[in-house]
Amino acid sequence: MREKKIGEKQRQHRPLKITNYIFAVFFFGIGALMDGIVLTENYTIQGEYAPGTGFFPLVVGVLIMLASVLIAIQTSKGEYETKKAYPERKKIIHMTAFSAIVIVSLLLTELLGLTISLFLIFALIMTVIYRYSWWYSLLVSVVSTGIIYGVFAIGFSIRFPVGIFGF
Amino acid sequence: MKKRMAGILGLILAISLTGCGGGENDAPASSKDSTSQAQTEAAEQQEYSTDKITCFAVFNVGGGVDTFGRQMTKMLKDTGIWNGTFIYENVGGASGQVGTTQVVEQYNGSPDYILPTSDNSLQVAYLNRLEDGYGFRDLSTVCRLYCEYRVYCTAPSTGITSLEDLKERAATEDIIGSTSGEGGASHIGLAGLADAMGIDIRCVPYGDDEDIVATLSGESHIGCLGSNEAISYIESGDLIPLAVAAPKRLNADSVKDVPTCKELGYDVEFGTSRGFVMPADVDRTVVDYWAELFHQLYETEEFKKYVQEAGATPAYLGPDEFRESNEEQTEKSIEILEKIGFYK
Amino acid sequence: MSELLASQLQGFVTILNPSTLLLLLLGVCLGSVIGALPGMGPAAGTSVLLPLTLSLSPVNGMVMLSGIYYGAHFGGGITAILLNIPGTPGAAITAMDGYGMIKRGRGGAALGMSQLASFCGGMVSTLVLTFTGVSLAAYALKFGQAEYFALTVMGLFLVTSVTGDFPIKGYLMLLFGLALGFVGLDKVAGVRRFTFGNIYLTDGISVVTVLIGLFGFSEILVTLEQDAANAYESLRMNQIRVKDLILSKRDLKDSAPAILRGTVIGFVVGALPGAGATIATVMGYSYQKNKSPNKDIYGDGAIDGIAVSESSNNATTSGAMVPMLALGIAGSSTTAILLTALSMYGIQTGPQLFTSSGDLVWALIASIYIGNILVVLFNIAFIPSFARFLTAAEKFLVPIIAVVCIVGVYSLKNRMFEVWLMIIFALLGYFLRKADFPALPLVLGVILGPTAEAAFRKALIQSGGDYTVFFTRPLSCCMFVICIAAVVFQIVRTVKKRNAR
Repeated sequence: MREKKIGEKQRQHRPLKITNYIFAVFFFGIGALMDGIVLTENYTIQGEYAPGTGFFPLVVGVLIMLASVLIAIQTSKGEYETKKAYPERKKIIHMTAFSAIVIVSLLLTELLGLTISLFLIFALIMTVIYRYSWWYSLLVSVVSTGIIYGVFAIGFSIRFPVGIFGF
Repeated sequence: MKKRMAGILGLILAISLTGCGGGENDAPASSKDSTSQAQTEAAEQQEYSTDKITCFAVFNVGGGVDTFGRQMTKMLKDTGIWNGTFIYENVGGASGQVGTTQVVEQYNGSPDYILPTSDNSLQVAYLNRLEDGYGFRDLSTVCRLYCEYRVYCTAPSTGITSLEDLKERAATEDIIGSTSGEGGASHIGLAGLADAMGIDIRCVPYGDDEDIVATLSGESHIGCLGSNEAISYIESGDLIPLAVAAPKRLNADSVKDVPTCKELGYDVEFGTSRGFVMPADVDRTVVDYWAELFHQLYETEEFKKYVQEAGATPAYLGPDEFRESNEEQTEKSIEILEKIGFYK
Repeated sequence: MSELLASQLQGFVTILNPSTLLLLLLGVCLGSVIGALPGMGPAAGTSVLLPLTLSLSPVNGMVMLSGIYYGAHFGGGITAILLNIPGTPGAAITAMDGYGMIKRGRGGAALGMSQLASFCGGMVSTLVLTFTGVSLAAYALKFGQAEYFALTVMGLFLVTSVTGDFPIKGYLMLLFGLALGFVGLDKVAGVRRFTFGNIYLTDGISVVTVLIGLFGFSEILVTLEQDAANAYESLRMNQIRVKDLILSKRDLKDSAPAILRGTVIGFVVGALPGAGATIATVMGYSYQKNKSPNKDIYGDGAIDGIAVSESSNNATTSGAMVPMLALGIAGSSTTAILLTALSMYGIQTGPQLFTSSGDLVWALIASIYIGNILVVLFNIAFIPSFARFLTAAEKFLVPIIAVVCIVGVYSLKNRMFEVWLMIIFALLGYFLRKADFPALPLVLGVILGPTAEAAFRKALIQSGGDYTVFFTRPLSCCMFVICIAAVVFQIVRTVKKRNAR
């Protein structure tokens, strides 16, 4: 939805109702999923002396659904005025780029090993988000990854996932 | 009925009595002789040796299996039988299945890992019919070292001093038993005793350590502890031993006068076997190497003293015998489970 | 009494030698660093060092291992305050007010208070351990399942004080936290729940993974969204030299009662096997909210919030030593490791420990006093340098923190699955923050839910299905009456407020 060129202050005060509705639906779905699983997987609801495996998840699922509905109702009545604004596009790009870098690098862990994935995360954040020169990013990333490896893998004997390069 | 993973564990113990062998004796003399002879021959022929191995426990640090592994490996070094380096690694979770999955899927054929284990974790996948579970059939069995039998105990505050007192009480009030988990070793131990005595014991799955607290406080009338755990509380007078679920009386001083269930007229025997396994497809010379080392440890005075103080029973089995023992126990457990309609 | 003091004095004499003191210093410093690192906790640190310490004498080994245990709680607050990344679960509570104070330019005071409160909590609770240790074990035994349930209900009720401006959202988060706690193995029935066939989910969702995802990692997303170039610029606003750690009279006055409350609650709850440091911290923090002289900024920069959470954190470590030393029962994964260490030394743990190995026990307790002093001194020296490093490395903080969080979470269980869970919670935490859903009730639900459910069901199995057990047992009845009274009081106050308007 395109913003009109209204004053900055007014933009900041526009309530983010839509997020409440989205979360209300999301959590309603979680509650419904929980109860669905309890009922379809036949978790015991009442044991011999005490509630069974499925009792509390069932109750909590119902309460989650109720709370979600309540939030939706309260939102529609305008009870959730908030001063938050939608973030600027540039800022969202940074955040998205960071998320993408982390996720993609971690997906490569099985192939390349955790050490190289961490190195990639470091190097890519520095070049892509902070726009450092590639050689500077490389240098800092190698040193930082080396320190992390030294402290955790060697110092604390944590076995990092190893990739095709053997480390 | 939803299969209960942990629920199988204790039933394994009902079967493990046959695998544990009798009293303070090892496995029957003839098979022991042939086992050690075969191993000596193997050791003589083998060229394998190593000075580094990872002791990989499929339970967290501080648990029974992990402590067993650390104790045995430390003893190997302290007695001078092996002078290499043990690296310790723990991957716990899901009653040992997380770690076992990692070993089977990632370390197949690797001689660099040795796993301390108990019969529970080796059999649970088959008895529970876990589609994605792994057990002793996916590993190389190395050896079994000892069995730890169960001791039935109560707090002085309950006023119960013998199984007969318990039986009298059961006639007039609900008897509460404390267990570490549903279907766990202590649960089946108590269920077995209740069945043999013809009484009802309501077992409450308090959880690890909380079950001991419940027994100590007198919240529960009876607990079923491993001999190792029970001894310290019996020595301090915080718990009164009622009976031991062993074929013969235990050796440790504090429990040597405690009658066995059999002596009291109840045919009840429960115990946990402890031993070592390695990843599958490891060269036989590697398995024999470690089996021989642990057999040497088994013969030492330090080991005998340790096992005696823990109230456990030495019961060595070699690689093939340990595997056979697990197979027998698994088959018998499945028979019993089918009989009681567990697999619905 | 004189015999007790003589034993304790002998304990001091045992450890006052260069090698033991050096190992103690090493232990507490390592503990503090480990505690500051997200993910890695004292359990990981002690398990890694266990083989090493076994080559030392029992006194030296136990002194060093336990130094790591309580030292970690000193360090956990440091990164929680400076970067909003809790190093230990208890530090998540500290992070709220701690990071709030950083944003207000009062980081020095926040850090100073975290060390002071940790020190007071540790020292006072150790004094109580010295004088009452063994007999307190009898109290721990009186706590049955009904009492555990009542305790966790008290904790859950107190969540009302941290729901923020939108109670329904807070309750929804609490319920969601409870839902997350159901994932894994149902400990009462031994059945898998909501695991979707995933072996790792059978192990449950770790609190630490949730915390680091919701707090530390999502904080990176928030700061990037706000201003990537100046992420963590709030650090620059804070002068953190040694003298900035010294507290003003006002801060001390505001925090003294909070420290006392945190210490008492921390020790008492810590002495209960299975209750845990986090439950104690949550309860202390929520209780303090009602008494706080800084109610308007509580949860976003109140110094007494830091005081109560840090003191209760540290008090639980001495509290947890009660069942460990007096009964041989581990209340947590770290004390389980300490007990393993004792048995590896050939020392029989259990009720006889004080009589059969009294020298070792009293030396251990004596080392806690000295260890507390050493770690505070180390941190006071280390914090300004660390803060300077963070400020200097501000431009690199985003990748550094991301990488350290990833490795820290991985190290919890040595699997990438935990890292992926953390990423999911980080993204969720980011969006929840944008929509004004408070994170703390979710954390409370994850921590308290499993204990509450299990205790409730176990109490009923024990009573044979008799629901009155929660009111016929005196301790449990008392706690429920307090809960009901608190709820009634809250309702009356709300009604009065509405009427006044």
